[in-house]
Amino acid sequence: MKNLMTVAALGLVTACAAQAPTGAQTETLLPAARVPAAEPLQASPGAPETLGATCDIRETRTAGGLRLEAIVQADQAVRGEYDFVITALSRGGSSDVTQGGAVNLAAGQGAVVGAAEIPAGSYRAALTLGDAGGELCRVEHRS
Amino acid sequence: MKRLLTTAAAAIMIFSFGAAHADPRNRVRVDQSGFANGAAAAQQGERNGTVIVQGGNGQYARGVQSGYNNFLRMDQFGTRNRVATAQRGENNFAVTGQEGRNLRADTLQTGFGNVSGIAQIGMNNTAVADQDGVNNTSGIIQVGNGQDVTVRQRGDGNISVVVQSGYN
Repeated sequence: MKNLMTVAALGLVTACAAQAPTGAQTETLLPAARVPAAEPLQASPGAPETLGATCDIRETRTAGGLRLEAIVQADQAVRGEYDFVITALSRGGSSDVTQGGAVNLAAGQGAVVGAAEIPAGSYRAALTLGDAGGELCRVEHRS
Repeated sequence: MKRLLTTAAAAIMIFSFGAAHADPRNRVRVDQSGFANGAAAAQQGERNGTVIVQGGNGQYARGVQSGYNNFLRMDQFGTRNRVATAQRGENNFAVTGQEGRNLRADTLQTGFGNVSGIAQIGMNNTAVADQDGVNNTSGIIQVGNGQDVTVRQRGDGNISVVVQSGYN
């Protein structure tokens, strides 16, 4: 069991690290999600449009549960911060994931600013983008 | 926790400062078994590496690292054990494995590579990962009922994976 746990932990971290941007990849992974104005990220039909930017949460089912991606699409240039808050309940217990950071996008650009995979069960996720002038957009999903 | 530390059957405090060592690799390994043991490792500078393994109940392990290529691994087996990990600077990598009940693992990372992994098997366990900086990646696996996870990530590259598997 000792080895099992260590292998599990190392395996998980390695798997995560494989997804994580490192060093030079930083400029390519997250910004790679940026797309030019001609190909804006597809927002879900329910995503509200607000002041110069659109927030969306993309859901993808995975073997372990659900992957949630925080997506920001800038209609105008955006220089602000985002908050991505997830609360989940599963058979095993509860999870709270909070992500945040700076968002700098030119007009027409979109980006996946954060991502989280949560276990199967019920959840509530909210993405908020704001700048010095206040809130630019907000979207909330719940199961 | 204070009582836990003061009543520790054995306490090991190891401080290794890179600047004071001819070998800048800074390696620490602690193995403990028994009851209410406390282990702490503090490292500063260069390529820090710490491994702490504890078996038994009421154990407490703490690792603090500042500097470059930080690596921390904590393993605990038993009930009411706790791990606290803090890393600052450069390529931070922390792994915690715990098996038992009423466990708690806290990982705090500030700096660049921030990668954290926590695996807990048992019941009523708590895992906390707090990351600031660049390339934040956190993975947490919990097997058992009554588990609790808190992940806080601030910076670029935020990726979090939580896997919980409860018993029927």
